[in-house]
Amino acid sequence: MSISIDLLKRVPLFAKLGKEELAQIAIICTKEKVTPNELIIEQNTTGTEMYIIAEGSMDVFISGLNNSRSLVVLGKGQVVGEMALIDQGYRSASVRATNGDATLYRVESEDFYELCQKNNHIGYIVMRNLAVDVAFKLRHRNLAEL
Amino acid sequence: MSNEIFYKVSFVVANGEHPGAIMTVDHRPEIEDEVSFNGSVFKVTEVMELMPTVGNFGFLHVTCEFLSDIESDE
Repeated sequence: MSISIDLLKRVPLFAKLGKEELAQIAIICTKEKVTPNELIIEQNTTGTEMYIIAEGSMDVFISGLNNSRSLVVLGKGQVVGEMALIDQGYRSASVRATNGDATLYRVESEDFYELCQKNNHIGYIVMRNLAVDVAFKLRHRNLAEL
Repeated sequence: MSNEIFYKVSFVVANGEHPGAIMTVDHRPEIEDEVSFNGSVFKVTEVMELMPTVGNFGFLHVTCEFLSDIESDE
């Protein structure tokens, strides 16, 4: 089943997009059911996809040699792995489902770029919103460390 | 364009080890509200605008304090 427009309207990454544009986004989203504590993204690996959290929540954490530290819990409407859409670099953190079941929608960067090529307005808006999302997460980290 | 307003909220837990959470909610949190995330319940003690509105999204920072853990059915 494809992602609903109603859910996409609640995703800040797609703020300022119209219904028809959200419908184009929906086409490139693939549903994935996630079990409790399942590892979705592993730090320092490569990946080409980002995920939209439809239900449940995800723990974002970083690991060192001897320990790991949770950075933030992300809930419905948030995205994880979005940096892969920007720099295709190594994953900066790991992401694991929290205790409950969760539903994610996967977006492959190749599909996303193809859509942006076809519709530059989507590309401009989503890239701008991605910058806002990264800024928001940075502000959250700054406040959390006070 | 829809007139619905959603809020992307940065929840920070005061005086605790919890890393906090970021969630999209349908209603603006208010002081004294109870919110739950990651298996615990928290009380809102501060709400402030973190960034200007984009489209139909407000961006808020909420400070909260731990109240209790949510009991599991299992």
